[in-house]
Amino acid sequence: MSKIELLSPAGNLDKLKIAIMYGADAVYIGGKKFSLRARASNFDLEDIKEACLFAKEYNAKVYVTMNIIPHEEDYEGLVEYLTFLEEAGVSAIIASSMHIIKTALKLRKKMEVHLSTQLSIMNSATCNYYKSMGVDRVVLARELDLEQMQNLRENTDVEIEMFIHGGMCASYSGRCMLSNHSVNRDANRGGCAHSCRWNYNLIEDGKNINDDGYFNFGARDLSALQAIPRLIDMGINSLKIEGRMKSEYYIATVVKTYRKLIDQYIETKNVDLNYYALELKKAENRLASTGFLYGDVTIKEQLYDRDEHPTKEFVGVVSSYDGKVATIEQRNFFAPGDEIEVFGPSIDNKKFIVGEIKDNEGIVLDAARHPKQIIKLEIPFAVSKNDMLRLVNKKQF
Amino acid sequence: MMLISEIKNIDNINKYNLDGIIISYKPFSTTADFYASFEEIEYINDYCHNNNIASILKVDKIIEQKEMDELYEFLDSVHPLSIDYYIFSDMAVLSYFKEKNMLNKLIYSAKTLICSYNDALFYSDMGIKVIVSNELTLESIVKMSELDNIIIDGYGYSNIFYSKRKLLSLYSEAKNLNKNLKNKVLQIREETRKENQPIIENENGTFIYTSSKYLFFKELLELKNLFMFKIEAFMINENDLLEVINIYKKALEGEVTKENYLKLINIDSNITSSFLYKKPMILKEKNNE
Repeated sequence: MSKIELLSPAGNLDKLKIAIMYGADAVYIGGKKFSLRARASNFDLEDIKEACLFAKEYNAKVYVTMNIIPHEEDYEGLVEYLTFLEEAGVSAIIASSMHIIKTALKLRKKMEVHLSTQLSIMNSATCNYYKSMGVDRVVLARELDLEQMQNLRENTDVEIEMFIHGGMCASYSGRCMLSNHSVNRDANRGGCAHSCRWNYNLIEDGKNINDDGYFNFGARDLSALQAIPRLIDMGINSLKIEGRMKSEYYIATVVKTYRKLIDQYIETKNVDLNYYALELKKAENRLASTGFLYGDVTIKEQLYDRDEHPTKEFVGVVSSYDGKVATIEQRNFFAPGDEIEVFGPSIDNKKFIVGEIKDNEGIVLDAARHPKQIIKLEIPFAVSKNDMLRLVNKKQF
Repeated sequence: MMLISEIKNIDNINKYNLDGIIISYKPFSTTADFYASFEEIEYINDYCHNNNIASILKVDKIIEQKEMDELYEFLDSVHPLSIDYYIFSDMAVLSYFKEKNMLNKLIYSAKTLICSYNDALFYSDMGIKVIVSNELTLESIVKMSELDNIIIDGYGYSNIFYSKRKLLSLYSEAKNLNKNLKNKVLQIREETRKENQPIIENENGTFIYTSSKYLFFKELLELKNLFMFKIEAFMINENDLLEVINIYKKALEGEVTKENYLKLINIDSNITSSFLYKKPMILKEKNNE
């Protein structure tokens, strides 16, 4: 059996490079056409070519999402686009429309065809049906539990991909038109307004059922961390992280964490899941749950009490290092005396206390205050370009 | 062109002026006001066949791995009845009928996924009928009606949300409401809006519907072909449903008249043309390719 794949999202070229450098075996990206997540910084044709060339250097794969449910006007240029993707070196498309799938299967030479989670695939008969069409891989619905997944795996030999981390729809994917009807935005063509996270009154016989609060039905994010060993053992082919809209820091942290976990489990069959859970928490503080992995969802998997705010732990990216002083591009506030942790493709969570901070002109600063500002500071161990800095402890006064 | 819908009451079956009767059965039908027992399926099917009416079994749930055996046992058990059509939304059902070389009995009803001529054509090539999305422009539907397999869900509340989650029970538990909110139609109203959307939780999950009934009537004149016209009976009382059926029966026989349109409005004026005359926005960046 081939090694399990770690599949990362990438909203743009910079994120793609980070995902691959931090350990993703494959990345999925959206082009300017046929792709959901319309607000993600989608790739133009030149970007796709560059993405494939970069991925090839690292022996990684690029998948392109074509997962909209198209209307008549959306098909323009389909054949040309598929031909371009194949020639650019894209390894697979991820699609939902039977016409797109059929066209891709007819045209392809090497490029694989993967079925999107938009099709809510929950059983082996469906997997086998699509395999008989020539489809190479299916992305399972996020509503399946581990027991059923195991059984499904044993009854099909099509490649199986599943989400392990990130946002969850409250509905079956592809079966929600709330945005269409509430704000005239087509959810199945990239316009989801996350209407499931809005506040609603719940009414019975003309009266509010709960005068003390709103009815919410949004879902907590998924974190399948504790199930990773079992998923590897059952022969799932690809573990997918959700979030083409997420930051470079998020991508780096999540990809690196799952990379280490997968590799350690395959090598030793023994992992400390608590350690990895703490690592993932550094990425952001959205509320997470195990979704349907262990059976029907409970109130713990729902988003009733939101307490989410953007993390400010990510403070900078290394541009270069001269053996003593690192040049850093700042992302969030930090100051002398703060404790910083560095992590990167080839460095694991090394800490130091910030000393003197200088700007690019050599002027000493009282703090690194401005996003994207280039600053210099001494780091007492070797760091490399694209390593990231996160704030661990603020200086105590 | 066939007029199809569900019935509300088996005792009144002869009052339904339909060309096809849709039968729901737990647990494989998503939502319905009336679920038939196995014996009632047999009865309705016999009634249909004796009266030159098509029998249509609704098996439109998304099928989980653990439900496969039960699904196939059920399909095996109804197979001898020679039911005319099956409404489905999961390829596990398609696989069953493909093996029996009976794909022409199938009606695909993952409506949100059928939004174009080309996707409908995929199923037409297999002999499968499709119920098209209720979020389409009239222009799109007219184009699709060039095919021979098109069904429009043209009157009633449109399902716009299908979740496996038991959202009402979970909410009741989370907020200590001590209320059983299952199997009853409630309403939700977004805090800044005025429209109420029906919501129901049952054994199959939670379903939300549009605040108004979709009304596709005068547009019938624009269509080239239509295999079936479906009335969504869910949440419509029986008297209104029988009247609506009679009006559409006449319309499908050629009486797409203002008088009949006004009769429909008179039954319920809370109607919508959905996206027939407007296009949903797509939040795309400017395309510079």
